[in-house]
Amino acid sequence: MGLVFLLSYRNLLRQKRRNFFLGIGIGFGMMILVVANAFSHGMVEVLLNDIVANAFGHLVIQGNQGHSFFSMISDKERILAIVQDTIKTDELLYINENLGMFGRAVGNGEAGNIMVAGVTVEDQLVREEFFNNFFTLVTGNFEDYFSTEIEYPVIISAAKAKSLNVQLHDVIKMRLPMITGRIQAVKLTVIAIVNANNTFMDVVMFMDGQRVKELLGYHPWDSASLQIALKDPQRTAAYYAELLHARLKPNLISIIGQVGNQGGQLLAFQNNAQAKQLLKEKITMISGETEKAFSQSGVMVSHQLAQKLHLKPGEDFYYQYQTKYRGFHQEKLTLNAVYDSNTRLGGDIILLNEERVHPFYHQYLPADSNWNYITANNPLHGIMATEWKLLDRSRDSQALRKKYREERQLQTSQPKLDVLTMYEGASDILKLEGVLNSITMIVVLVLFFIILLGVVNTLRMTIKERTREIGTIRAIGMQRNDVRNLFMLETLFLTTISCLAGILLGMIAIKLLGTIEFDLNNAFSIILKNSRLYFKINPTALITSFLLILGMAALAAYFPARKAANLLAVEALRHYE
Amino acid sequence: MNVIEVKGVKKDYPLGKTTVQALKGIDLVVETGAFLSIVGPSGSGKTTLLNIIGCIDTPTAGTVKIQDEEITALPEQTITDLRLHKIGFIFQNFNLIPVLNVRENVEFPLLLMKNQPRALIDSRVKELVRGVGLIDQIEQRPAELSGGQRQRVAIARALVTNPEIILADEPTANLDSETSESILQLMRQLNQSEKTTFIFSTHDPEVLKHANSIIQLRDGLLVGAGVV
Repeated sequence: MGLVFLLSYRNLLRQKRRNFFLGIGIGFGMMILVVANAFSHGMVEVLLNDIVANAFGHLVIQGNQGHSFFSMISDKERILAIVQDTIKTDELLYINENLGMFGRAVGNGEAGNIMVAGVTVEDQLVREEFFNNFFTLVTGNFEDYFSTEIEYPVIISAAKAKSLNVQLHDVIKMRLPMITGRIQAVKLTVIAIVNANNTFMDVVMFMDGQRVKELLGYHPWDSASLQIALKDPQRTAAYYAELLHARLKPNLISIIGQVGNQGGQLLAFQNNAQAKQLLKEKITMISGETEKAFSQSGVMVSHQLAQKLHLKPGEDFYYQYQTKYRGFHQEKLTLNAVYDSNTRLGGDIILLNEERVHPFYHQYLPADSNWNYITANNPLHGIMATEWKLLDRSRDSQALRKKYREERQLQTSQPKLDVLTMYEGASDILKLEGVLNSITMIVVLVLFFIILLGVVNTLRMTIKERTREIGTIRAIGMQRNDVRNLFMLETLFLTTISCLAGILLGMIAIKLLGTIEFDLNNAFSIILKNSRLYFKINPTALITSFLLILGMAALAAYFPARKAANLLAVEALRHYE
Repeated sequence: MNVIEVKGVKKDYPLGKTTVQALKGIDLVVETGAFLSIVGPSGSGKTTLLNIIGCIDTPTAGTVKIQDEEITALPEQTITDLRLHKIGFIFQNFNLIPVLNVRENVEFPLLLMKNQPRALIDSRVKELVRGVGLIDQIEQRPAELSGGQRQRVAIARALVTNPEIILADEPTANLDSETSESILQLMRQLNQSEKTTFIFSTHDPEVLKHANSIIQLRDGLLVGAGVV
């Protein structure tokens, strides 16, 4: 094989000019491929890591109450505890609440729609990342971000400040919808004007997360969606999403409380027809109106409890319980029916339709519950309502949108909880990279097809010129396979050297293109990083492209090389140019 | 002992719609160590006979034995191997590989044999290159050598594997008379020292004086044979 290598290498140098031009073609194609791959990979990284990850987090726990536009998790502490217990400390960067206000803002004679993002920067890491990497300060002072003497301090981009015609310390008036549906008017004070490192940040104003939370009407124990930033999201995001999903399974609704001095546990049944039918089969009505009892506002009490309370259908009573965060809560209920039961529901039980429970349950979370009163193996378990609905994990953005669309159509006040990673939340962006790479690949393959026609042609010419030489080496004793390998190796040498040169040139081109500064103010600028194109080489894609081109070259060289190998020595020796 | 036995060998070539009979039934026996010259005018079948003996062409009819082994029915790979180990070729146009220097050209067949120790290759190549008087040109490429020097390289290459037979097709046709003389003297000397059988074709009467046996071909037939 050493001899074949030596001959291939020497023959390659023998026709310098011809091989040089062919090499330029292959190298040029490879260079385009390198630049295009790095561009699409870099663009996706900007979109995914700088925009999607910053705006939504690597991992998101999202809650929705009924049909509210805002994300809402009603027991932040409990969810946070689960998250902190699930994700290893050394793999977690930070957890942040994703708080955003959208509304109409008026500056000095100019108005526009704006988004105010709430960023809590208690964590030192978040603080450094936020102030050092997100922006470049043009004027103002970041320390004022925390000032309690300034009315709602905000950081604004120079572009947005210009569009609203505001300067440092000017006031921006804003009308924004709260989570309750009310519209609130606020005055925001500009404490810093900055240049953002990407266009997406240009359109957002930033305010302390806790203040945004207050303005939107969240309780301190509520949370908007939780953004979780991980150290190695590519490796761990999906894993932790699955783990969190498993650990965020809801419990059955249970409130330990009392009516007057009589203790009683409040449970809820599901509002769907199937669950209601099954429940009807399990319990026997003694008095009252079955229809009303199973309606959305339905309230039933066990016969045992009704007797203790001397309650009759149609009468009102007050159910009182200790809440987790807001002292005692008293809920006025109207009894629709009394049931007898030999099931687990036969004790001191108040049984409500879940649609009657959710509105107050999440406002006034109970301090005491008995989540295991009805165990998983109890046939009643599938009938009873859960605290929230844990949405199935989604494969990609398309599945996610479909899931949310279907959920919106359900008429229920049951809160929903979803766990998603930016990879499925923004899978369209990941697909975009695939699409861009495919387009590049098709263009480059066409280019290479043309180049490889050159390879075939060159090889045919070479073989014709060296026919007598082939005759000689065959006569001396070289086997056919070695002759074939000789010509294939020549092509592969040329392709390898040209591709490596192409990769090198591509890297130089990337460096040069990356230095050009763009002054754009359109949709294109979203893919820029610090006003420059951002390239990132994807080694896997690079190696794949390289191997693909080598494969194509080998295929192109195979047939002429085989033809050379099959030449009869006697005829080849007789050949004259 | 016979190194080559040719029996009833015929060779037909298609030429357009007709067939040319290059050899019309040749019987020939060559003894080991012979320095045999095949003579005859152009088109008499000298090269065809050499090609068939050298296993780079196959006869239309008849048999060829090399060291008692019938070679006409052997598979292609075995025949290539046989050429490598038992036959050396010297061509009229030298047919050296232009991208290899003298040393590399001479060692080429040994490298094809694979698994030959490097030290053995080096010593054998040097011995032969010295033998053909080109030790000072050992790193030069064919383009830097004269015609006579190139043919000496070709002779060294033919001998490097210690073949049983060396076939030379008009080895001096492209050389001046002085160089031809020295090449033939070298071949004769190697024939005697290496005990290798040399068969060469020629139509140069000057060459014939070096042969120890001669056969004459005309129109594809053996018309004369003799010992000098």
